[in-house]
Amino acid sequence: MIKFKDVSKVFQLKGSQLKAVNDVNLTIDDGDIFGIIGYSGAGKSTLVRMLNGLETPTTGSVEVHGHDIAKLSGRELRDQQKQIGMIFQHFNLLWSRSIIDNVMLPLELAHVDKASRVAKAKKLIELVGLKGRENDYPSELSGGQKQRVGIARALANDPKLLISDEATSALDPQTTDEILELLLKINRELGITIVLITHEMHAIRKVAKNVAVMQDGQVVEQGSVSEIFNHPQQAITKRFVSENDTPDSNDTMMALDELVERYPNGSIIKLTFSGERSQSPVVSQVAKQRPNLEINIIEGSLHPTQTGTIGVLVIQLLGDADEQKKALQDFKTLKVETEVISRG
Amino acid sequence: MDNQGLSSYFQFKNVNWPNMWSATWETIWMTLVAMILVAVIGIALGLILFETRNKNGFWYRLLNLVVSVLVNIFRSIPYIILIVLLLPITKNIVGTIIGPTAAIPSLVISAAPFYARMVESNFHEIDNGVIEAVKSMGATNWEIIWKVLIPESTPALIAGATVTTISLISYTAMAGAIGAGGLGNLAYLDGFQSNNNSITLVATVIILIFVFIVQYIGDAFVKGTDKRGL
Ligand SMILES: Nc1ncnc2c1ncn2[C@@H]1O[C@H](COP(=O)(O)OP(=O)(O)OP(=O)(O)O)[C@@H](O)[C@H]1O
Ligand SMILES: [Mg+2]
Repeated sequence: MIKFKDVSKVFQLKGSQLKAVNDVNLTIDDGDIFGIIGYSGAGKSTLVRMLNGLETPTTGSVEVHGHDIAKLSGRELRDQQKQIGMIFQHFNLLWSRSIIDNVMLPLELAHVDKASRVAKAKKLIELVGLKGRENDYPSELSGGQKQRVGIARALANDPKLLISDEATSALDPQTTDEILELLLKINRELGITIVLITHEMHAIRKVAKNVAVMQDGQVVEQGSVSEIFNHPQQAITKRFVSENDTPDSNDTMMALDELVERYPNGSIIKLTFSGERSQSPVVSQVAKQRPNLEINIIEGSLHPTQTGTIGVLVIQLLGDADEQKKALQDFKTLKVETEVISRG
Repeated sequence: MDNQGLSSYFQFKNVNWPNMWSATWETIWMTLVAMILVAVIGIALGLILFETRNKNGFWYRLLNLVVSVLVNIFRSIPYIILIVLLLPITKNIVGTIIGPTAAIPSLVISAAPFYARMVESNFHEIDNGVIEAVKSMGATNWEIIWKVLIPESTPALIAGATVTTISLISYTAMAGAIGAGGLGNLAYLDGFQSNNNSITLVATVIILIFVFIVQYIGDAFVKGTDKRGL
C-alpha cells in the first residue's frame, strides 16, 4: 500500500519558489497498475520520485509499505530503495557494463553472492525476452531492448513496487505496446505493484486499472480507468480522453470538414460507450425514436481496457435542429457520453 | 669544423651510447613514477572537486574552495619556475635537488592539478540519469564512485592520462636542464653546452619515439575500454 498524504514539494529557485507538487492525496493498492497522466511539467516525476527517496516532500508524508520514506535514516532508506525498482525514459543503463552486468548491479549493491547473482540475472534476462544477449553491451541494443534490460534490472531485487517514469516515451508505437505488454505480464505473474507515469492516454488505457490526472502539481481527477474514460470531469481529462480516440488523423479531420460543408444543417457527435453499453443497440434505438432524423455513421472503434471495454462512435445527425437536440438527450438518458465535435 | 652546419647533426661517433641509454631510462623512470602519483592524486582531487561542487553545507563549500584555489594556482605556474620555487621543499622531501628523484615532487605538483580538472570534467560528462538510477537502487556514495563514476569515465580518464603523460615527458626535459638527469639533461649539457648537435638530435628522436609509444598505448586502452560505439 502506498499513501501520499497532503504532499507538497516546493523547489527554491533563484529569487522565487516553484510548487511542483501541490497538496496531493493518493492511495495506491498493492498489486495495482496505477497510471499518473499529465502534461510536461505537471509534477508527475517529482511526485513519484518521492516514493524511492530521490526527492523529499516539503510537507506531508509519503508512506510505502508501511514506511514513511522521508523519515528513514540513510541506511534504512537504502534498504527500502532495494525493494523498489524504477525504469526510465532514457533507460539509464551503464554503457560500460554488459547486459548481464547491468542486471546484476542491484544484486551487487545488495551483496548477493556471485553464483546467485548470475543465476538471477539470467532468469530475468530470459523473462524480458533477451536470452542469448547476456554478454552484449547496451550500445548494441535497440531502444526497446534497452528498456527490457532496464526492466530486468529493476526486477533484480524482487521489488514490491515498480515505478515507470515515461518508460515508453522514447519508443515507437509498436515497441511501446510490447513494453506495455511486458509490464502487464510482470504485474500478473509476479504481483508487483506498478506506478506508471505517462503523457499518453493510450498507455493508461492499455495497462492501468486506476489513474490520477495531474495538472500544475495537483491531482485534479482520479478513479478507475473506465470511470475516467467514460465520465471525464475536468477539461484536461476530457482533452486526454479525446486525444486518444477522437479521429485525430489529418485525413479524418479533412473528411469531417467536408461533411460539415456539404451538410450545413447536420452536427457531428462523438459517442462513448462503456461496459455493457458498448454491446447494446443504442444507435438503432435512437434512430427509431427520431424517425425524422438521419443518422450517418462516420467512424467507430472499440478499446479494451483493464477495467472493461470502451466503444467510441462518431456519427453525424442530419435534420431539424430541435430533433438533433432531443436525440442528444436520448443518448444521455441511455447513459452514453456525448460530445459535439462540430455543428454545421 | 664538424660542430657547425647540417652535417654536425650526423656525427654519431660523438654520441656516448651508454650515457644515452641511461639518460633514456632516467626519463622513462621519472615519467612513469610521476604519472602513477599524478593519476592517483589527480583522480582523488577530481573526485573531491566533483563531489563538493554545487553542494550546500559549510564544509563542502570550504573543501571545494580550498582544492579549487590550490589546483588553479599550481596549474598556472610555469613549470620551469615551479621547479625553482620548490627547490627547498624538494630538498626536504627527497634529500637532494639533483637527479631524477628530485624532479618527482615538482612534476607531480604541476601535473596533478592539470589532470584533476580533466577528471572532474570527465565525471561531469556522465549522464546524471545513470547516477540517479544507481542511487535509486540504494547505492552508497562510495558504491556510486566505484561502480558508476570511474567505470563509466574510464576511456576519458585514460585519454586524459595519456595527454598528461605526454606533457610530463616534456616537463622532464625541462627538469633535466636544471639537473634532474634524463634526456633533457643530456641534450642540454652534452649537446648544447658541448656543441654536440648529434647528441641533441638523438635525444630528440628518442623522446619522440617515447611520446609516440605512449600515445599508441593510450589510444589502444581507450579503444579497448570504450563500449559506447561498438
Ligand atoms: N530539481 C529541481 N529543481 C527545480 N525545479 C524542478 C526540479 N525538478 C523539477 N522541477 C520543476 O518542477 C516542475 C515539475 O517537474 P516534473 O519533472 O515533476 O514534471 P513532469 O510532470 O514529470 O514533466 P515531464 O512530463 O516533462 O517529465 C517543473 O516545472 C520543473 O521545472
Ligand atoms: Mg517527468
